[in-house]
Amino acid sequence: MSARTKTAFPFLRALDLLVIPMILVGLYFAYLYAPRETTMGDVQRIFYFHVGFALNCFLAFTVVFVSSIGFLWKGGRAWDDTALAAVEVGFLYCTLVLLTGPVWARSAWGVWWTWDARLTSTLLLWLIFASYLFLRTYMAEDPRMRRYAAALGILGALNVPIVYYSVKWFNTQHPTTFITQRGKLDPQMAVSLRFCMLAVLALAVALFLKRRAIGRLEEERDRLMAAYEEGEIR
Amino acid sequence: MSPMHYLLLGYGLIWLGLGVYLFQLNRRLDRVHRDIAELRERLERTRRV
Amino acid sequence: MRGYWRAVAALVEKDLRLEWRSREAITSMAFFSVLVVVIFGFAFQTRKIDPATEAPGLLWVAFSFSGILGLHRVLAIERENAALQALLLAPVDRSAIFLAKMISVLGLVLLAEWITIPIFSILLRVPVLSCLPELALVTCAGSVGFAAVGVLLATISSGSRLREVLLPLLLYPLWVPILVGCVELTGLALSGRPLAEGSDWLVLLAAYDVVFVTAGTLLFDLMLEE
Repeated sequence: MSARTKTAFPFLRALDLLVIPMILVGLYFAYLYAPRETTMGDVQRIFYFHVGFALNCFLAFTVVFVSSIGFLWKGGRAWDDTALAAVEVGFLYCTLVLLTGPVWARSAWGVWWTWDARLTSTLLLWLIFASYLFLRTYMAEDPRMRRYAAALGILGALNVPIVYYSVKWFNTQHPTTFITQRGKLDPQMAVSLRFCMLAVLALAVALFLKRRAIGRLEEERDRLMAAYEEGEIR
Repeated sequence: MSPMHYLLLGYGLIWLGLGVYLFQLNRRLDRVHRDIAELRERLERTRRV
Repeated sequence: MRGYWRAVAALVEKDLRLEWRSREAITSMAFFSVLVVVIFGFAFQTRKIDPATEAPGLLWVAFSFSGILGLHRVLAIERENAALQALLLAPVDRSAIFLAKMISVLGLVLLAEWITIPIFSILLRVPVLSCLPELALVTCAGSVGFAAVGVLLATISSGSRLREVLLPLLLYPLWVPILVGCVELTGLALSGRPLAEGSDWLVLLAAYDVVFVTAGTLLFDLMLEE
């Protein structure tokens, strides 16, 4: 069979050695290196990772959109494994966005949660992909499950631009990202933000590749299992 | 506990959770990999017999 | 093209004729949404509710719940006696089946909504006579999206043993954006303001309707293959 599956994934393992130090350096940048924000105080430090999680969550759901279309169009389990891996990572990041956001909101706005456009639409995205995972578990035995999941993945990912642009379309209290107004941002803050986003992206890629590899291997295992059982019967 | 402590606690839990997820993925990867190796071996053996 | 639409019309006529004979779906849907209104009335012990904020929310909660009943019913017609397999043998494009199902659900949902509105108006003393055209527009715009995404997801969930549980879990998260728009616009209508004040929401509703109808038409065929 392919040589890739015979090796014990040196590449995927090496990713850990890249990602974990990156996250630690990112934490250093966010919590020690970046200067204290004057109006919001230390709580503003959340934002370095919050932004990274949010942008990579959108990125993951974009991957879901493309690979779900790929699965319905071309077929083949590789597309579906890609979509599932991206959903898991995107969902995880979406959860982290929803956990880190309220901590900041409590200090800046005085409440954990408001029904603001950006917050509500992020929650909605989380609910949609939670239902995607429900579908996959509830219909695990159905041979059509992967196609159903792809359809739901497409419908869900269509909401991503709405979440992204909700800040512009509706009146919202949510701050727009600082990247677009680089001039105003303190250079040390800018460096920290960029590094944290990179670290979070690296983590997302590592998690995604591992999850996808598991899916690919499970297909191979199922195939071998079927071949083995067939041999037993004969 | 001060708000800052809550913050650090919350963040600790988040990063811990991510670490556990990463660890879990590595373990699943190893397990499936082992399963495949074992199945291959068994298939080889039945073919030889 | 004319043959295509004739097929859609024939399929809709079949669904509505079946429904007309039993009137099972429409009576249960209308009764259920009136029940939701009554339960709200009791639960919140309201004598009079605010037409701008509470009334639209209450109405759309009732519509969301009763709409699910309609979806179950219209899909169940095809599941009984494996009628869907027979339908798939018909020499029509599969998207015609989707559009027909969508139109049937739309008809049922709208009828149930328009039966609920006057009863709701009397029970909770919310005047609706002055804004009936606006309400008709908003219910139509909202229900098109509901029917489109609902039929697609009901087809998906009908393969599952847990279909009654799965359908609302899949449908409501996707339905929320439309619901928000409908609630905002209904609030404007019920408080006697022009819908034009909420033109952003009208655009959002129209966008979702177009997206869901298109996606449903394209994806439905792929959901049926074995």
